[in-house]
Amino acid sequence: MTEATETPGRRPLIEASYVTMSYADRNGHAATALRDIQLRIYPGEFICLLGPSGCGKTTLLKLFGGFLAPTSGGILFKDHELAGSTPQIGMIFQEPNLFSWLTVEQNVSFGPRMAGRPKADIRAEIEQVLRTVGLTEARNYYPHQLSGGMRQRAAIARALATQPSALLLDEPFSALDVVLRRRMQQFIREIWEQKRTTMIMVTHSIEEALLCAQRIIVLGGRPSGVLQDIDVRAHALKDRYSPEFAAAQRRLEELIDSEKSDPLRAPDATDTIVGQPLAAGGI
Amino acid sequence: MSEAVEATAPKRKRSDRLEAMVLGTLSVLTVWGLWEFIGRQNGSALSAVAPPPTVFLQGVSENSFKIGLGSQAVPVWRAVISSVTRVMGGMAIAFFAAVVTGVIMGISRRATMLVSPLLHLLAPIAPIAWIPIAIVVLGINNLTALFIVFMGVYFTLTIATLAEIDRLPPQYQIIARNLGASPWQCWAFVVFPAVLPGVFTLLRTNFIAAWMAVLVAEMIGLRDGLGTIIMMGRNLFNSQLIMFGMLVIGLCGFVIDAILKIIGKHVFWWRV
Repeated sequence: MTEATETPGRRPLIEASYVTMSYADRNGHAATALRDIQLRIYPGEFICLLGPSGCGKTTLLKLFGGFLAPTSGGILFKDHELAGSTPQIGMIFQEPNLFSWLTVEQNVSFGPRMAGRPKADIRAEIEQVLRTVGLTEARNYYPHQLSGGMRQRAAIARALATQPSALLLDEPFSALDVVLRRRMQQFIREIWEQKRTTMIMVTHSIEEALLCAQRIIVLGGRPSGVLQDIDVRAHALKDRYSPEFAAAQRRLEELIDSEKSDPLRAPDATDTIVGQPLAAGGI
Repeated sequence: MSEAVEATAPKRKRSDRLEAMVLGTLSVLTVWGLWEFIGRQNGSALSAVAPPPTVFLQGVSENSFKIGLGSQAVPVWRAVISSVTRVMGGMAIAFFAAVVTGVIMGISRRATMLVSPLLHLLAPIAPIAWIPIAIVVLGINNLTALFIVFMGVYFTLTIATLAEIDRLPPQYQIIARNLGASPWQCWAFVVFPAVLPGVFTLLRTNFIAAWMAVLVAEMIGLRDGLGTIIMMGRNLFNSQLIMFGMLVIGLCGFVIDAILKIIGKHVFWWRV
């Protein structure tokens, strides 16, 4: 594991500069969840955000997606200030949230249809996306006829159909059982290798982060900041039974463990923040 | 594709349905049998007030199932059609009006603030209470009947639509917007279809209220329909006609509810 190094000359896709996020806690006091986050995310990277629960991983992800606006500091997307959610940055939640009255195909074509793209265009795109996620056969199924893994795959296909530059994944596989989870980790990795869409994934599983990501960003502290930014491209780390993998896992575990937040601490930062400003913003 | 097939137990379902049908028929037959037994005893008070089916059906069949006197008599199916069209028409209009109102209120907080006190003031007024005004303003015709059904269902359904919108997971709208839907598209293509099944279920529960409103309107003001059969029986001291009217009303209600159930299952089948 080496510290991620800056590659000169590359333009970042998403850039967070001095991002601070505060919220009002239950007693109305201002509390800071994230302080002075500075990160550059380059096109085509696969990044995992790790950290103890309540460290603001999901909040940071929502900031990257434009679902939340930082209290101070700014998020740049392709060199422009990010002003709200855009189809160019797709979001995948833990629940697939497929539109249950639409078939897989209709779900996947939702974005292109909303954009008013020509029908032939949409058909070709959908064909390709369905093939990528392996749901061509299930295209006419309704979400309730699919298994959990297929639903999440359909949700990923739906996000990919708008041809986003980046895909944000908020613990996308934590509702799935272990076997399925392994398969989905491999699946998302394959998608990434095929499409090279920038992926930013929040996970609480160190193993998942090591298996999937090229770069792991560990958040922690009070208020949360970037503890470590680690390059995990090394091939040995993609083999979960290699000694390097075990060593890396142990080191990350110790790092996160030392940062474990006090369980008696009053409100959970992410929990409070997730709903409120979004609802007020009327997204 | 074996992954896609949900585990179901069709055998168990079928035997359950069969059992329900057998027991249901059994209970209806038992009540009917008791009714016939008591009603056919000599000098039974029941046979005068509520003659059993074999008796009143025979009585009405002598008049070849026509209701009314002399040349004004109309076959019973005409009354069935009038009542059923009224209730179905009124409910269909109320259903779509309620969902549209609900969605508009969902979009605009100002519209909600303006309309919601009115809704909650008007909702508790029984549909029957509108009958006198409706007859004066709209006259004695189908419009009055539609209006009364509408008033009986619309407010409750609008409130239900708002509740359904509140119940929607916020992710739905977040995702729709993230996929590039405009606010308008988001409501038209996501919120609107998402609330339809829930509101339809409430429509079905409110059907009884609408059905009763139509019958009362027919008893009080209108000149045809199933409600009039009861009133005619009352005016002619014809308990056979009253019982026949009640039987037809019950049967129609049963069939309509079954139809609504089928619509709910096959048209608005999805759950959010």
